[in-house]
Amino acid sequence: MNYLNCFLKGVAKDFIATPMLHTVTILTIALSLLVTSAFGLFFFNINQVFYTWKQGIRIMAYVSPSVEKVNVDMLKNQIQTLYGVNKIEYISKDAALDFMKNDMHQADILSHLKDNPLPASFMIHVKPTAKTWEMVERLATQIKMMPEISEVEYGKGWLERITSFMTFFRITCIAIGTLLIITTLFVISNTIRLVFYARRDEIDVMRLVGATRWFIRIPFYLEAIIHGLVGGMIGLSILYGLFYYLTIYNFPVWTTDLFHPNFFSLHVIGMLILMSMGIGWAGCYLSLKQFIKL
Amino acid sequence: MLETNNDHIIQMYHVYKQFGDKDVIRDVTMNIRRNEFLFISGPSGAGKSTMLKLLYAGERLSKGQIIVDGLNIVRMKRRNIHRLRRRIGIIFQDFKLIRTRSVYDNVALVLEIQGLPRRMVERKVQAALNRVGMSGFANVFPPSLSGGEQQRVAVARAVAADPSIIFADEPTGSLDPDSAAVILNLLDDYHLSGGTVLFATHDISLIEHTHRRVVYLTDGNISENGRPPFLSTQYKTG
Ligand SMILES: Nc1ncnc2c1ncn2[C@@H]1O[C@H](COP(=O)(O)OP(=O)(O)OP(=O)(O)O)[C@@H](O)[C@H]1O
Ligand SMILES: [Mg+2]
Repeated sequence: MNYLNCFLKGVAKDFIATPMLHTVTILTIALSLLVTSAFGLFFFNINQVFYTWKQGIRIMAYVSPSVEKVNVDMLKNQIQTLYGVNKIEYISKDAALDFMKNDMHQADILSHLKDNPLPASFMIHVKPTAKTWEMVERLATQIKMMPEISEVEYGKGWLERITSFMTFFRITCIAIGTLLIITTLFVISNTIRLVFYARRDEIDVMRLVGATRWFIRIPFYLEAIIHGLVGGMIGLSILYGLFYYLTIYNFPVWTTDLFHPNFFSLHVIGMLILMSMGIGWAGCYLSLKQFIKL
Repeated sequence: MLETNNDHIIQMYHVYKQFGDKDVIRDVTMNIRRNEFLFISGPSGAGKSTMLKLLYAGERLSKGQIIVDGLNIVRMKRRNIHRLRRRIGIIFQDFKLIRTRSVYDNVALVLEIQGLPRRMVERKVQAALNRVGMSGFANVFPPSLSGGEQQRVAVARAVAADPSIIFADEPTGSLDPDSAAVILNLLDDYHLSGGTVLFATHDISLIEHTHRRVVYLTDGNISENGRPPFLSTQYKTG
């Protein structure tokens, strides 16, 4: 308790003595965290859209016109055994025609027809798992091999493109995040080094009168962790400001039934700030290890 | 080898110190008794400061053995140096006060690093400042004090935590004779209250008329009996 008091007093004095140095350090952390977590937030929301969208992925399997009478239950069971199938709906020829007439307002064109030209079909809902597009492709091939099925339809191109975009985006995020974290580490460790040299005489005296090495080190760790904490809070506040401005305040149209942009949960915010403090700690550790001999 | 001896607070046994290939301390063997007031003298560059540094582990010795207040300096790890430093007080020619801390905080530091409760720190700092007659300057910063006053603060800092030894390296070197006498008196007080003092100086006037033991260093070697030939005063220990 006595120690803590002393440390905090020292840290406060340090911030007052060299305000620019500390401000710049904190802003650097804030900026890195802002950029990294902005990417993260974007990814997080895109991912949600993608997930919602994946839940809607269906394969349409059209029954061959040469098949006279469809054994619906048997085919359903057969398809159900395939991997990745979530739900199957049978759409008979009549149901397909009704749908055309009512839901798509094509009644006048279709009313002239004597025969129903539409095939019966199965609508297969796919389970929304991570590797969906490969799974959907395999599933489609397997269904197409069934003799009763003439044709299979699914959004192959789209799926493929979005999946690879997401992968690319994730890798970019991680790369940028890593780069920024490394930069931040250097900035912090450099700041700690400068603070150390600025207080060199004082530290020599402390050592001479019998301070332990930890007594001397702890204030530096405290400073670096405070940099991380304050920088993290500033970075996330700016991000929230931007998020609020861009979504809720300015463009509420972005919010649809399918897509509702979300900010990080409190849990994630806590983790990010802890991470930021951790980076402060690590920067200080590097500095003390590399430059500073006690 | 060296055996711990309760009468001897400092024991040096065939101590060597080299900087590069230059011997600064050569084969020094000597004991210092508890509650002794000892002068270490010799010309500039003789190795007085270096010898004190070896004793407070500011430098590592090259060869030999040193025991200070029961602690083996050679075997001591860097992270344990504070144990030695807390038993000693050190005074320098250039005071080594922290310029950005008040007189009070400078003295309080040696007590705070030991984790003493604030009330006790306050009491001990007050007592130490009273002892050196500087209690009126508690909130002043060192750069606005005179040299003599700064050195008094340094003495207060050195005695605040009740150390068993004080090392003084030219403590009067940058002071006028009156201030020097004040510092010398303060060290005498500390000595009378039971402390051990090692006082390094090249100022002959300080040691000419002393009845105390003087160890004379030349080229890193101590003179036999600790008395340089040109000083004829009777050898006595204090
Ligand atoms: N860190 C060091 N590296 C190299 N040489 C050193 C170092 N410290 C001291 N010396 C040398 O050791 C010798 C003794 O130095 P020291 O400071 O102990 O002398 P001194 O007796 O205290 O002199 P003075 O009376 O001027 O203070 C000098 O020649 C000095 O140049
Ligand atoms: Mg010297």
